[in-house]
Amino acid sequence: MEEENIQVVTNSAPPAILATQAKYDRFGRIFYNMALTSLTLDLIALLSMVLGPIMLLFAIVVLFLAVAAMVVFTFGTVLLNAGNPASRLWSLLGSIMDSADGINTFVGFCVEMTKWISILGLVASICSIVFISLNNSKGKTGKLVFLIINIVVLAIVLILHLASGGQLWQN
Amino acid sequence: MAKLDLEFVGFENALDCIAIDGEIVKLKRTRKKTRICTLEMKNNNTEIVAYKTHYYTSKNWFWWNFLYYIVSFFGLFDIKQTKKCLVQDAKINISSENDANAIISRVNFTDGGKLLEVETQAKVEEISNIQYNDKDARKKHLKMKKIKTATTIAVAVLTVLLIVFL
Repeated sequence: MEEENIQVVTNSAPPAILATQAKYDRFGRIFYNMALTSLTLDLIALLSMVLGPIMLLFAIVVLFLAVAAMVVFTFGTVLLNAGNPASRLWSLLGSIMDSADGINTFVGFCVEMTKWISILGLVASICSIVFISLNNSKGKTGKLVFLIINIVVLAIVLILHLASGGQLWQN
Repeated sequence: MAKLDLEFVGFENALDCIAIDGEIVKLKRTRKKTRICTLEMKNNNTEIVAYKTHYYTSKNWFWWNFLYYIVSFFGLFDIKQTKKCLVQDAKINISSENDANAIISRVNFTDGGKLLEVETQAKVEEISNIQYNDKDARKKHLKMKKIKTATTIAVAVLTVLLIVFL
């Protein structure tokens, strides 16, 4: 009986303006999270650039391996039962981690990733600015200021990266 | 035109937004942690809508949620959604021929209970005023969660297989 009553009372549809705002808000927050993550990763890369390639290796490898390990160990067990593909995967991972060349390749991969993270962060920041501007959320001004700073930082990292031809971190 | 002074009590992060006469208004904060605004009533009548809902209301709820999931890199950058699918829905008309003021307070959550309490000398008409947990939306939420998990696993397996065979 109570549920029926609820259905009768709540027949007022959400105003279109509020439904649209909710969509803008969700997209704005998703892109904001992306921008925030890319800034964090880029700051680690910048810090590593100051401290040297060993720190780059330390900081970024730890970060990426944490994510990669989760994926590999979850599906590694499944693949182990599949025979050949699993052994190929494990030997590939083993060879990367064992050899000096492998580590250099991995550093190269991380440096390349920094470029793509910067590009992704820039796109996410711009999208976030657009959606947050359209939306009427709380703390709008603060978020917009942060995103503009974010764009500046990411652009600097990207310019530094492109200007050095990706060699800046490796020198 | 008659003026209406509105004071909202207990609206700190409580509702997504408040629309007055179909427009989302900026409310001033006060030291008492309430929010205030003054407006002119068109035809001596003002409609106040306070609405918060989940993301499963629209007709294409599945596709919208799937789009959020894909755009956020398989939910990695998405916002945290609570298990409770709370709906807060209030639509109130305040009418007065003279200047008036109204204190609109948010009532603590009780399933199926009132959302707003209005104190005013003006005439108040409640079109809707309720907050409740949406059980249908919760079912949709759980269904969506299963689909997202299955998609994530499928994409991860596909990625690993591509790495191995290419």
